[in-house]
Amino acid sequence: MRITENIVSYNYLENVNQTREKIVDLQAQMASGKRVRKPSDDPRASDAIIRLTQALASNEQYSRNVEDGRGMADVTSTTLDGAAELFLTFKEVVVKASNGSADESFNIYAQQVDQLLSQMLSIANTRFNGKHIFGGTQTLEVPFTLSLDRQTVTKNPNGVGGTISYPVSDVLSQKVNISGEEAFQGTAIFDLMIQVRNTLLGKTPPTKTEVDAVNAGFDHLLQTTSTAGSYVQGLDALTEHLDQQKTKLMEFLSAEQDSDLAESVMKLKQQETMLEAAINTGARILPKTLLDFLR
Amino acid sequence: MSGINGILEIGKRSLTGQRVGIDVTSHNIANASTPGYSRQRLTLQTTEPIKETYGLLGTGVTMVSIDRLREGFIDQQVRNANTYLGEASQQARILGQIEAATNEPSESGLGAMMTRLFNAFQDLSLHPEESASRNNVVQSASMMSDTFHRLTAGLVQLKGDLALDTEARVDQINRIVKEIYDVDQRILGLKASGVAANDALDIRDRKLDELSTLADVKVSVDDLGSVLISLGGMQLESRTGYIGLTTKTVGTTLTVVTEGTSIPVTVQSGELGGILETLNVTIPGYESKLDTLASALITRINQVHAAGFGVGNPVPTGINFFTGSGAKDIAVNNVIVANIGAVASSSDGAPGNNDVAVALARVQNELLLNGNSSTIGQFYNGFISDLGATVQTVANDAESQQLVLKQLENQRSSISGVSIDEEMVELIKFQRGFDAAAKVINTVNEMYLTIIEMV
Repeated sequence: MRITENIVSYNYLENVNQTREKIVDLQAQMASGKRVRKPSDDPRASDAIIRLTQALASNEQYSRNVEDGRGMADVTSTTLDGAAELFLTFKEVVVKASNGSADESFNIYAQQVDQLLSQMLSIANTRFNGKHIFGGTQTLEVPFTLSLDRQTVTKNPNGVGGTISYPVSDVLSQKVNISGEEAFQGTAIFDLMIQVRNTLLGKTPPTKTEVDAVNAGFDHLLQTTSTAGSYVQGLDALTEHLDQQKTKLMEFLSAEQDSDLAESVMKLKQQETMLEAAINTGARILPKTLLDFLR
Repeated sequence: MSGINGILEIGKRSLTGQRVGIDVTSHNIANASTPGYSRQRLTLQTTEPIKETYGLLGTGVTMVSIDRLREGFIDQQVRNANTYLGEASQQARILGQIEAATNEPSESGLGAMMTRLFNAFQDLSLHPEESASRNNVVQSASMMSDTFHRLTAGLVQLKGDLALDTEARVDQINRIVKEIYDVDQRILGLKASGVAANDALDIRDRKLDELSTLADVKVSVDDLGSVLISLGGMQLESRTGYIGLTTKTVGTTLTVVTEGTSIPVTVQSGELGGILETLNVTIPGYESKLDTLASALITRINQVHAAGFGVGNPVPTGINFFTGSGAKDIAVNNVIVANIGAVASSSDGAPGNNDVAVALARVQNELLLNGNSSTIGQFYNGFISDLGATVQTVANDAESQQLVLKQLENQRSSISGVSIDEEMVELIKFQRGFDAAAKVINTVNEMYLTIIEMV
């Protein structure tokens, strides 16, 4: 091929330009730490990056949901634990009163039971994060109210039932509350306490039916407590699962997205050397023509 | 014409020949860097010999022609490459702009904004009683709507720019076609007087190169040496005249038509073809995808939202979350902006009930698009990866055409380009020839003197 000066300088410029372009790209990769900065850099990887980023955002959201749900379930479980303990004290009083005693003692027992009733009500109206935890979905209203004559406990007329569940994955939700209906069987627990107190005030021991009901009520409270505990355990397991998933997702994302600094530095060095060589050669050959030797 | 006078005449012809040789060489050197210039060569030939009894006696040298060295076939290939490169580079430029406008993958692209809204619905499901959760939902939804607006406004702006680009390209084509017609007339005039118009031909070839970058023109040469230029089957220029082009909007499509007669001209490639294709096909396609996406979001979210209850007295219900019908006008319902309690979270009006908030968040996983086969996120990701793949393809096309063009330019330069080395050798050759011819004349002069002294 016949080579003219223009071909030499054109090709020279072209090569230097290409090398510079690669250097600029490598520098951008190193500065941003990212191998893929726009979809066309690598459409397949970019698709994966977008999907993984979304999965990561969802994962973080689910972790937040689980954390919040765990808080709610944990408070519910602890509070119910307190309720069961309180009911145990009530049960002990009932047992003592059933075993017969002096007239004055009935009064004392009745006062104790009345005290326990107040405490139980305050437990049933516990608030957490501004929500009444036993209000069902009526979280803003007081679930249970004791009448002034302390003879009846009434539910919130809008109800104390209803399930609250939080989304914990793309398809699953986890129940995080125990409603007032579930925990206190409507107002049955309170009604029982009032009934026993009134019996004791009448200076008679609790009846067989009452004792049986107290035993059943205690069993019920224990059972609900353990249900709430199982929610906490389930949410703990989910936290662990989500954490593992997050680690994996971040690994994948990093593999698709992050530039390998060592590799970039090596490539950059290589390109720098090539650029130097090209410029050096250019400086030697570009100005040379026969003219230089015709003196 | 033999004898001493004959030798003198040969010397004179030789001097002229060598001088013109230097002339041509210096013209080449002067134009070594002129774009489109083809090196020229002086063709010398022996003059008619004289028949003597002892044989044919040479009578010297004469100049036949000055020719340019040019390969028409490579010109054609260069022009084809120019056309493809023009198309691919314009598409790469425009689609690259769209790609940059999507700002993906990032924390501020539409994808992230949609995820943010759905996460806000989940946060609402955690604390449906708190107005902060509702605020967050409304904020996220407004930001997402703004992102939709920004994207569509960007596309509209781009279409406006491209319409201007189209007009500029059409004007350029008109100007070049007229220039080619003018050059053609000069070439025909010179040709009629029997001279090859080397420099004018170079200019015409360069104009044709320029033209081929702009559009997929067909070029042929008629028997008189004038070019015929046609575009999409429409004759634009011949030795008898030329016609102009202009743009015309038909419906939503920008087309190229002939000036005055408004006959449509199909431009398929070149810069103009590339611009028209993106303007009329690609961008409307993207716009409709964004509209489909926005419309699916509006319809489904509204459907779920209107069935739910917010907080307040009376408890708001039956309210649409979004207003608008597409990417251009999607917006959070003013009723909700004015009263964030209208954001629905509950399925029965109980403030702690989060069923509707959860259902709104779950819209993210519903297969709403592509004939109930894609979620909103998948549809959008598909759009982005399509765009990315297209940009990559056209950019690669442009790059490979650039390489092809470089090869062809080198080939052309190898035939037509000026080599200083070569010209130096020519210069020395002609200079020595000139010296030698002068020496011949000197010798003849001395011969005359010798004869005169004999007298």
